[in-house]
Amino acid sequence: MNLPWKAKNMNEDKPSKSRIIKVGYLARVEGEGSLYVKTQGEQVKDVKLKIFEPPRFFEAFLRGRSYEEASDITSRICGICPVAYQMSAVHAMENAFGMTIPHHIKQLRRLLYCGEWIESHCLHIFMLHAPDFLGYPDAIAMAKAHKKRVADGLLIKKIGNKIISLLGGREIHPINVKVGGFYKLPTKKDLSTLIDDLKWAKDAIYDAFCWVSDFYFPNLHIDYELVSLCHNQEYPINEGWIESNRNLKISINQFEQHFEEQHTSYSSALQSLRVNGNSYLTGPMARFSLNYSHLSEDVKKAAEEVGLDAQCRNPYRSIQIRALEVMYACNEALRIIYDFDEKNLSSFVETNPKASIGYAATEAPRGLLYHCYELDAKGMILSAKIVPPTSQNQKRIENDLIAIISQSLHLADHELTTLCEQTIRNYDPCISCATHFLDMKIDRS
Amino acid sequence: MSDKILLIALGQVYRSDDGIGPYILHNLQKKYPHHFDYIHHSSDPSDLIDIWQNRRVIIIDAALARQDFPGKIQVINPLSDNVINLNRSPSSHALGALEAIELGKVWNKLPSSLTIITIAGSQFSQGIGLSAPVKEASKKVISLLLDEVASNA
Repeated sequence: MNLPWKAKNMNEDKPSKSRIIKVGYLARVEGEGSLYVKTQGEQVKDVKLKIFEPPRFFEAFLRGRSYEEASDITSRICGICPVAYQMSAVHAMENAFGMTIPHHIKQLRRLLYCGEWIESHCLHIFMLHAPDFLGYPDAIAMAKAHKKRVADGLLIKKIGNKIISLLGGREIHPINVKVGGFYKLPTKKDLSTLIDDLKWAKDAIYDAFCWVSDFYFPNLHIDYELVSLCHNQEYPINEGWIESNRNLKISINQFEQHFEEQHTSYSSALQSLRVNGNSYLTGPMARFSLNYSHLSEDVKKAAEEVGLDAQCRNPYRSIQIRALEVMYACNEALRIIYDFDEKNLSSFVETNPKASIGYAATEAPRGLLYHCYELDAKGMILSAKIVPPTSQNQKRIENDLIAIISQSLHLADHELTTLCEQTIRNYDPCISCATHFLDMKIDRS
Repeated sequence: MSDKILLIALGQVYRSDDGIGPYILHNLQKKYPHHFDYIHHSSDPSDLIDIWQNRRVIIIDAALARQDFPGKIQVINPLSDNVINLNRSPSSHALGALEAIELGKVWNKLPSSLTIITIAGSQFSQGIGLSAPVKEASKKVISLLLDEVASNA
């Protein structure tokens, strides 16, 4: 097993002036990317996260499509977070048309999203990231020694998929979501079939949280600007305003006044930065820090037991926070199911399209997902803007790499490479989303 | 537990040649409803680990096939053969059939026998219907499967 941060100093002499390290295709991240690192002596001179996955032009081919199609088209951007795209799309259209969505629709959408958080976070925790902490090359190798952990993780993921299938019509690219609500509502009886599974999942993920909390976490503390949705009554998923820990508090329609996308010469994905040019972090750590008080009591208690609080700024501990969010999602799903009263409910609200601009942001598993659409009088899309969380985090990933590499130059090339890959996986990046791994080159000169 | 062969079709009907597995399955099921136990599995392939344990299993799929001339049929026994000629899941966000087999090996949750029949496709874009060479190949695969049932009778 390979645990790079536990390697002894492999370079007994002073580090050579120039080092070139190449990493093959980055495993266990979605999409295609490479990493270039240049060091000189004991300084990191340059880090580039190069994304070479081809751009996918969703924003372009949405033009001329009906507002009704946006949720189905954008959901194809990603197979692991299609609900996030559907929710941001329908919310943006409803914002454009000035629609009021009834409470029961909001709650069922929240339940659907809980399913996505559960399945996406579990895939990442058990199949993509945990192997790093235990020194395994992949989850299959890890599954030999940690059979129950992986089996339980896949089962919790499956329960998330069941929620999506029940409410969305199928597990991948749900078909039951529309502007105004759903095509068909579930019955109380349908939803009740999830209760026993969710109760089991809640206990199982708590057990998994205790397991990951025993992992060794490299010592890194970053003074991030954290950005997420915030809400005055709930841990945000579908609704709220945008806040940061640096005095930003804006409505969603102000997003583009405070964040801008930039092209880089080395990436086919745009990078999103603050308008002052600074990077920021969106995702579980940002949500956890900015909305800690809205977590359920048992989740907060679990966090406190291991000394994890809203001040955590160690990106390696994001695996713990994801486990806590799964626990929260199980709680929230149960609450919504218990509270659901199916009597005399309409499945959707009628839509009256008009020339308008609509904005929405929801919290995808990986972070804030922003959509904006301009529509004509018939509801045809004139322009679309989609800013996924991974493109927002790209610069932050590079900056984290600079920080960790700077304190790890004593490691041999292959250990440093492994550490860099693990660092990237802290973000659970979805490069496929960002383009509408890792081939790494370290140039030590 | 049923002693019939469990015939599992993977693939999406709405993705052209990716639908060859379900096409073969539905054709057989219609004409020979009692020859096999039939499953069209379109969700997470990792679920297969629970479905196939101790069964005799045949999987039909197009996506597992390596790029080759359309309609080429490959028969592989992954419990004994080298599986390098099969495609892994292209996405880290999905566990493919190969990963399910690997997990099954690790956890000793395998079918008693496993045969994978792949048919190389020519188009996987959105749409219903098979290309001509793939449709032609489906007849040979159906014949293979019926022979298998006859030899086990």
